[in-house]
Amino acid sequence: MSRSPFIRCDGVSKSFGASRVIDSLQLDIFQGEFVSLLGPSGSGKTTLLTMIAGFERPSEGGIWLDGYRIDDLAPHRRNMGMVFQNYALFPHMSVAENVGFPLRMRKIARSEARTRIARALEMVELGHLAERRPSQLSGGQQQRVALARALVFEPRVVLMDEPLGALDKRLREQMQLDIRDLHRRLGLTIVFVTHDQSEALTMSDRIAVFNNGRIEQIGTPEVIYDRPATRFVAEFIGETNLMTGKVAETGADGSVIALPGNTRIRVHQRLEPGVDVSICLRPERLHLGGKGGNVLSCQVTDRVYMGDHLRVALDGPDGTLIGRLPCSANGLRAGMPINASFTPEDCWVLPA
Amino acid sequence: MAFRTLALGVAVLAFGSAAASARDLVVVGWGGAGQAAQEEVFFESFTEQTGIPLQQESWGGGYGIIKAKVGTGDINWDVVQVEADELELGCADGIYEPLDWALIGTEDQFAGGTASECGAGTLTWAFALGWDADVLPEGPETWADMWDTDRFPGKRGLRKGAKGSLEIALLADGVPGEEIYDVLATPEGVERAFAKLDEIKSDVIWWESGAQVLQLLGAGEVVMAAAYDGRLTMAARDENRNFKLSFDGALYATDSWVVLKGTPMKDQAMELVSFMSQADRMAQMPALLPYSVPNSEAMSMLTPEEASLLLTAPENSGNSIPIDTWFWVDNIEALTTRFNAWLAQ
Amino acid sequence: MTGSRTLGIRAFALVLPLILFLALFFVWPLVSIATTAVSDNEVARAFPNLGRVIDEWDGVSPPTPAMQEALVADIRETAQTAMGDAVRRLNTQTSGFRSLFGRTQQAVERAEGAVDLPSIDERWEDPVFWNTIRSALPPYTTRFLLGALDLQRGEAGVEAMPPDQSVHRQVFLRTIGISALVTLFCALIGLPFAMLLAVTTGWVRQVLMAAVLLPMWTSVLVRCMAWLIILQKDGVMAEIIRTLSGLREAVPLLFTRTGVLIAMTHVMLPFMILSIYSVLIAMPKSLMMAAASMGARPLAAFRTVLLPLAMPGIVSGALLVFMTSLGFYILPALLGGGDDQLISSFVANYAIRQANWSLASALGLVLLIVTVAIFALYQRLSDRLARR
Repeated sequence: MSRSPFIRCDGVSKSFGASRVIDSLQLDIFQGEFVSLLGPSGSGKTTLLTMIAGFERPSEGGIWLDGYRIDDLAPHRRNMGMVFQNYALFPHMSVAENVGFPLRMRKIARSEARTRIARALEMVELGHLAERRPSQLSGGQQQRVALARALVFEPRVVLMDEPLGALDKRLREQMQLDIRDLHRRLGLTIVFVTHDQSEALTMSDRIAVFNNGRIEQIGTPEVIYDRPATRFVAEFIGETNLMTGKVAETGADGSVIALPGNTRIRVHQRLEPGVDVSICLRPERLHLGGKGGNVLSCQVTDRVYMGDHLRVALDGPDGTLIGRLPCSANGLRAGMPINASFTPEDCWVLPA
Repeated sequence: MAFRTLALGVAVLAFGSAAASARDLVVVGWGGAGQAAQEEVFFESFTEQTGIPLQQESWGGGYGIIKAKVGTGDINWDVVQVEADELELGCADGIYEPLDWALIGTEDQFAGGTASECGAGTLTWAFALGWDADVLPEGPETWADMWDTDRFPGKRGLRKGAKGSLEIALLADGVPGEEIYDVLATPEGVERAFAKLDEIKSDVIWWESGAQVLQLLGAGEVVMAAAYDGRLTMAARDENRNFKLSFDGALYATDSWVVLKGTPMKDQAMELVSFMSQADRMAQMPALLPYSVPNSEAMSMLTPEEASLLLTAPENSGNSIPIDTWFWVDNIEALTTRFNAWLAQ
Repeated sequence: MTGSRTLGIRAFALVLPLILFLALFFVWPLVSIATTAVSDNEVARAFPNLGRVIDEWDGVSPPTPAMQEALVADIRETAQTAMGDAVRRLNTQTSGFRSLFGRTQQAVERAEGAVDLPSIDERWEDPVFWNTIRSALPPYTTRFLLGALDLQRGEAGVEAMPPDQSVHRQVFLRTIGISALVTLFCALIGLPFAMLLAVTTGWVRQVLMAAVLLPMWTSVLVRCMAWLIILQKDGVMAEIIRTLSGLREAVPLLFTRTGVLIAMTHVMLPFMILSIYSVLIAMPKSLMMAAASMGARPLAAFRTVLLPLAMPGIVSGALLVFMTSLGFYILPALLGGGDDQLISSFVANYAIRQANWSLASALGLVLLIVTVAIFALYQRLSDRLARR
C-alpha cells in the first residue's frame, strides 16, 4: 500500500528525569485503522497515547497528524476524542450535558447540539438516561457515555486508554464487540491502549506490542499470534511452549533442531545450522497419537477439564509441555504414558 | 451569675480542681518591667525573710476578673495590685479583706487616703505628656501642644478609654485643672471634651497597655503620647533613649495592694501586704521603677537624683491633677459607652 | 424481655459520655449565656423590703417615708456582696448610684434607728434614682438584649438609643463586613494556591505545604507581633508599597483597616487553602485532561469543570473563614485603629472591665444568632445545589 500514514510517530522518545519511558519509537497509523498498543504496565503505551493527545511533549522526535507536525499544538486544538480508564465523566453535569460538552466548547448552536447529543446517545443505546447524573449509572453505562462523548464531535481520531479495564468479564466482551462495531460503522481511526492480549486480538486491525519503552512487533493479530518476532511477544500473547535448542541440519523442506535431551524436531523454516533457537509451539497445535512428523513420548502429569477443552500438562523428554486437547480425550489420567505429536508447520522458530 | 459559674467550670476543667488546695501564696502585679522591680524589691526578699514561698501572676486590670474570682469562691489569687477605682468598687462590694493597719503599723506614713480600709497604696503613677526628644527637639510642653498638629505633625498616642482622655481634652481646651471634674459632670462638659477629641481624632493611635505606648514611641509610630511617667523614665534610662516628660497637667492616681476576700491564705497575704508597706522597703522601689510611692517616710529616704525624676519633685508637681476616683466609679459605664460610640463613628 | 431491656440500658450507657459531653460543653454554656442575658435579679434580691412598698409610689413625687424606711432596712439586712451586685447593676443604668450608695451605707451604719436619706445626700429627693430601682426589680429583662442592638424601652415602647450611645449595631455590621472581606480575599488567594498545591508533586509540594502549615502551627499572637513589625512605618511592607507605587510618602498600614485585613487574611488563609485542596486532590486528574481533549481552552475548562467541582471546598472554606473571623479579638486590638474593633472586643470590655456580664452575654447571644442564621442560609443554598 502506498497510502501515507494518518498519524506518524517518528523517532519519538520521552524521558522523565533520568528514566527513559519511550525510546526512539516508530509507529505509523493509517486512516480508519484500529490499532492497539499492547504491553505490560510501565511499558510506555499510555505515555505514547498521552503524547498523541498532547498532554505530554516528546523529548525527542516528532508526531505528525495528517501530514502536519502537532508537537506544539495544545490538546484542546487537536480535535481528538479520548476515552479514559476511569471514564472521566463530569460528576456535576447530567449525561446529556457531558455528551454536549465538546459541542458547547465548539459553540455549536443549541438546536443542532440537541440533535447530535440525542443521536450519540442513541448510538450507545442510552437515550433514556440523558437526564441522569453519572453517579446514577452503572459502570458499563458510564463507559458508553464516555464513548458517546468522545464521538459526538466527530473527531479525526479516537484515543482510548484501557477503557474496559474496570468492567466485569461479560460486560467487557459485550463492549469489545460494540466498540468494534462502531469502528466499522463510522470508519473511525482508533488508537486503543490495553494490557489484555485477548482484547487486543479480538478488536484490532493491527497490534503494537510494547516492552520497556520499545515496540517489539507491529502486525495483524494473526501475525502477532502465529509468528511472534521475539520470545517476549510469544510469551506475552497467549500461551506458548518454548523449547530451546540448536539447529542441527537444514534441507530444502526445512530444518532439524536438536534439543538438549537428544530429541530432534523438524520445522519448516530454513535456518542456519549451529544457531541457538527457540521453538514456539502453541498448546492447541499439540495432538495425541503418533502422526504429524514430530512425535514425543510423554507422561501426563496433570489434566484440567475446562468445558470447551481439556488442558493437560505433559512431562516430555525436554521438560514440561502444555496441551489443549479436545474434550474427547477425557479418558486421560495423571500418570498415563502418551505420544504427543505436531507437524513442522505447527512450529515457529525464534532467535533464542 | 451563670457566666461566672461557666467561667469557673471551664477553669476547673482546664486546670483540674486539685490546684485549689495546698498552694503557694499568689501575688498578682501588672507584669512587665514594673513587676520585675517588685519581684526584686518585695517578693524575693519576702520569701527570704519569712520562708513563705510566693507565686507570681500578672494581669492588666479589669474589675470583672477579680469580681468573678471572688464570686465563684475559687480564689486562686491572694494579693492583687489594683487601680484606685477597682479598690473603691471592690471595697464597696465587699470582695476584699479589710486590712489591719494596727498590725501593719505604718498608717500615719501614708498620705491622702492611700492607707484605706481595703487597700495599701504602693505606687503613684501619672498620665504625663511624653515624647522622643530626638524626633521633637523642641518638645511640647502642655496638653494643648498635643492638639497643635501644625507645630508637631505626626500621630499622637492616647490610652484607649474615656478615663484620662476626657480630662486631657478639657485641659487642652483651657479648662483649669481644679475644675475639670465639675465640667465633666455636666452634659455640656462631656460634649465639650468629645468635641475637643474630634479635632485630633484622625491623628490619634489608641494604646491599651503601658508596654505598647513605649513601643509606639520607640518605633516612631507616634511622636508624642500620654504615657505612664515611671515606665517612660525607666525606658529612657534602660534603653538609653532620649524620651522626655512634661508633668504639666499630669493626671495621677495611686495603685494599691488588696487581699481578695475568702482566700485560704489570708494570714500570709496580710503578712506580705504589711511587708510591702514598710518605709525602708518602699524606698527601694523608685531607684528601679521611677514612680513615687505614697509612703512619705519612704520618699524622704530617696536620694535627690532619684526624687528629681518623680512626679512629687517640687519642680514637677506644680499643677498635676489627681484623677477623681469617685467620679469615674459613678460614670465609667455611661462614659465608656459614649466613648466607644464616638470611637466607632 | 429483660434481656432486651439490659441491652437498651447498655446501649444508653455507651452513648452516655457523649450526651454528658454535649450537655456540658454545648447545652449548658448556651443555656447559661441565654439566662445571663435576660436575668436581672440582683436588685430584687438586694431590696426585698423596698420591693414590697415601692409599687404604691406614683413615680414623680418625692419618695415616701415608707420607701425610705424600707431602703434603710434593706441596706442593714442585705449582705455586702449582694448589695454590691445590685449597685453595680443600677449604676449601669443611672450614673451616680455608686457614690450615692457608698455615702448612704456609711451613714446608715453609723446611725441607729430611722435615717433621713435626703439629709445624707440630696440626690435621694430625685425620683430618677428611685425609678431606676423600681424598673430593675423584675427578675427578667429585655434591657440587655435590646441594648445589644442599640435599642431601649422608652415611653412609646421599643425605640432606638440616642446616636451618641449607639455602637453595637455598627460594630456588628463592621464585624460582618470585615469577615466577608477576609473571606473574599482568602478565596481569591486560596483557590490559585490550592490549585498549585494540587498539581505539583515531590519537594515542590512539600515546600508549598510547609508554607501553608507552618504559620498555622504558630500562635496567632506571635503572628500578630510579626505583622506589627512588617506593617510598621518603616517596615518591609511600607517599603515594598513605596517602591512599587513610586509614592514618596509612606502609606500607613499599622493601626488601619488595611493592616487588619492583611493580617486576618494571612491568619485565615490556611483554612481556605486546605479546604479547597482537599476537594481538588480528590478530583481525578483526568477530568481536566478530558475537558481539554474535548476542545476546552484552559480558561473554559477552569470555569466549566474545575470551579464548579471546587465549589464545595470553596464554600466550606468560606464558611470556616467567615465564622472564625466573626470572633477575632486580639488581632484587630493590636493591629487596628479605634474604628477597626470587632464585636468580641466589646464583649471582652463588658465582661472584663465593667463586670456587666448580662450585656456581654446579650452581645454573645446576638452574635450566635447571626452566625446560626448565616449557617442556615448556607445549608439551604448547599441543599439546593445538591438537588440540582
